[in-house]
Amino acid sequence: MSATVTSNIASHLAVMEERQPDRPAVLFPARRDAQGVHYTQYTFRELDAVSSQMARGFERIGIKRGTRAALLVPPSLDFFALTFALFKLGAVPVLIDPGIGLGNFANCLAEAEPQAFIGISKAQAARVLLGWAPSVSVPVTVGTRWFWGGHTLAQVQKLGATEESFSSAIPTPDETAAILFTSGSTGPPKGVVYTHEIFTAQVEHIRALYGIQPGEVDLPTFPLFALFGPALGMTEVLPAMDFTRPADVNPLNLTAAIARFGVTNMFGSPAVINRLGRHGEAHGMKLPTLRRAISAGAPVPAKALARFAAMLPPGAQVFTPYGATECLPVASIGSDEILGETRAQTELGKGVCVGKPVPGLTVKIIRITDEPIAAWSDDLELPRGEIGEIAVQAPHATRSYFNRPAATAQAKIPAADGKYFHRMGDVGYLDERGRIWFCGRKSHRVETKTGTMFTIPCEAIFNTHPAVFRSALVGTPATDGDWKSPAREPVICIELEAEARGRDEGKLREELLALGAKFPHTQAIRTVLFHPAFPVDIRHNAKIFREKLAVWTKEQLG
Amino acid sequence: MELGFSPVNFRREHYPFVGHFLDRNGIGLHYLDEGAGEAVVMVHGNPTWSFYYRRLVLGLRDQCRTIVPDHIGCGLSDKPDDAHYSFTLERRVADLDALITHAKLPEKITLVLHDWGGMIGITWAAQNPHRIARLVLLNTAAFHLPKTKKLPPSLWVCRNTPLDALLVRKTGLFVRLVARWGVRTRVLSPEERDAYLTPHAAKASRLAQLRFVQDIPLTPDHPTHALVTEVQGKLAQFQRTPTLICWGAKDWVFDDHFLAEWKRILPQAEIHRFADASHLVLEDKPDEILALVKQFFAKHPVKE
Repeated sequence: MSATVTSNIASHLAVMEERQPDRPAVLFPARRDAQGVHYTQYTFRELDAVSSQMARGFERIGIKRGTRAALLVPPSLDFFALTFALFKLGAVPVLIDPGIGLGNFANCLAEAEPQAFIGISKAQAARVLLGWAPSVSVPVTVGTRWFWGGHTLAQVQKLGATEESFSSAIPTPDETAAILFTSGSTGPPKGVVYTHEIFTAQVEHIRALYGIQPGEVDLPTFPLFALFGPALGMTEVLPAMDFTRPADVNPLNLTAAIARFGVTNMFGSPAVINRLGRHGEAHGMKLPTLRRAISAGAPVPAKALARFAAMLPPGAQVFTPYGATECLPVASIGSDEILGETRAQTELGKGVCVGKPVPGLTVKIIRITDEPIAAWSDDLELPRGEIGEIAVQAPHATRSYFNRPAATAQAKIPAADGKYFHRMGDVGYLDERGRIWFCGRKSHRVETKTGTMFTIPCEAIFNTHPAVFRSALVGTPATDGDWKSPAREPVICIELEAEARGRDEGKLREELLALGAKFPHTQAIRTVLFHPAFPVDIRHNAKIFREKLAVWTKEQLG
Repeated sequence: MELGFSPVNFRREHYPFVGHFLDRNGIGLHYLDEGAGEAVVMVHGNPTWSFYYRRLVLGLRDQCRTIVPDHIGCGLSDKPDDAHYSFTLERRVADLDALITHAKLPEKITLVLHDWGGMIGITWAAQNPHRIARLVLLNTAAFHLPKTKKLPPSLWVCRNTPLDALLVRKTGLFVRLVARWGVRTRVLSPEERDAYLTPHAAKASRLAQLRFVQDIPLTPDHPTHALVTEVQGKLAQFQRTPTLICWGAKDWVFDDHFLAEWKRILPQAEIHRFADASHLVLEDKPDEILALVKQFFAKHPVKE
């Protein structure tokens, strides 16, 4: 791939259309009756043709190159065709992860200022009634139009129904391809700006890292990942599930789809891996067709990884790419390496190994600061083995947030030759083999009088206690009366396993403190609090809202 | 894998099947697997696909398990380029063998063969003679060009001149000609015509058509020549195999010279020559041939 030529991400679809036109590109569970689930499909030929038709229709109603178009359509055949139609036009889909919650939609839309709004009837109604996105001048309704203006998708397709072929826009390297809002772990979601170049690099990384072949069959349980499928030549089998609540998925719906379509790849989230693994363990079930599962969004606990890996055929494993919407993947590691080697280190408080950086990506561990960094300089970098903030530079790292200069300055470090480092907001270190060890979120670190404590290494020690389901390190203002001091007192909050509830807390506390006293990095912890159920994100049921826990801790300690 | 169906015109009306894909080193081979009972494998030629056998499948699937592949590069199968697929007789036979193995068919198989599908099917049969229950031959060959027969000018042009690229690949003229002149007793409906043209809509998709024509060995130095000679030499072993030949006499390639050759090699064959039918004899005489096949099957039940 040459650096000066940028191909439209939709051109991947054209390549696959040529190669395997009559294979299904997307299968959608349309209805269920006594005979089972009935799927509708677009073949690669149809997806290419329908998206061209939509693109021609959009052009007629004023959606053109550079137009920002909010896309509020759940995963479906239309969702795929619409996204590729916008890519072909060079218009910019604004994609909002439904997992972020309704309240955040208005903020995201206000920030993205879309000129077009393509949504199902419910989304259009919400737009009009709740006053979302006053910037919108071109509404397109997928389904029935009720009391608002604009066109329906059916009308748009009719306008675009000609035999002529549609030539995709050829983007410039910096041209925006899409704006993605995903759930951030801290603060309101920010619009991450993707260029066609970034998408293309990302597709290539995923293909090369995992050896994905055209003709494979993918089951995506994380909607944005589903878009990579057609570009990689995979058939996307959309599962019957609520994508905003993967932890509630019925595992039978997934296992049935995997068996029926011979699914070879699964883009999963930790919640789904956990759910399926428990189901497999309880029912002795295997998934013989899977070649790999790729789980992103949050780390997968080793226990859940082991359960799921046991369902896979020999040679298949679970890969956990490390990264964020701003840069994915940064690194990748497989369950063989985790379960065979790094898990033991993790349980000794060494952090979670997330693997080696992907080819072409530079990782630097920089000294920790919460301030913006105006320019890259080599003295930011820490010696190997020391824990600092993880910063990355890569062709597929995004360069900015949309309409957020302050957030951009906070997260990006300008470097020489117009390049940027992206600050992950995560802390970690590099080992002697160049692998990254993740030690937690930077904002979750606890500065104490004796030094800085990091969440993952500390919590790992307490998590090894059989009564502990999970733990969280938080800091409270120091108790020596000096409230102005930035130094904090470390507190470990514990959520017990269901079967351990009701046990003598005094005795447990003693056991846990004794455990902590064994390791230098947890010796400073003197306070243990038992919490009934941690506040966590609904999507992954894994990201602990430590800010909320800190407030609770303060109340508890009075 | 199973494949759901979508509302493309010809599929709903003429091809109401749920297809499957067999993975051949990352290249998908599409095939039909319809019905249950004794095994009937139908092998298409060039430039057609499993669509050609649709009425035979619909007519037989109540009593037989019908397996109908689309050769790679044809029909609904993937359309690889030369770098990923070799487009030779040998490779085609290996694909057929892989499909028959994958489908776990019973020991005895009836082969239905048309056009270059005869060469592929008979080559497989020569390698697995114990598995052949019966043969049904439709305007096909499994031997070198009969001495009495000259290569038709149309094929000569495709094989030997730069016009090949133009005629076969750029304009799709070959498939258009076959769709127009391969049926003589009626005109294909627009949907049927679409079904023959659509899988080859893209230029790259027409590569298989060209490679098929170029794989006909006319001289001994051709890579496929030795294999055809070998298979031809083994044909006599099928002289006790029940054989039905249904022949369209207006075929401009597989004409009476070829029919005479079949008669000489397999004298036991039951022959039905349709004077007004052409190369796509199943499009010309679908009902007649279905009835003949059913009678023929009844007359020669499969003995395990």
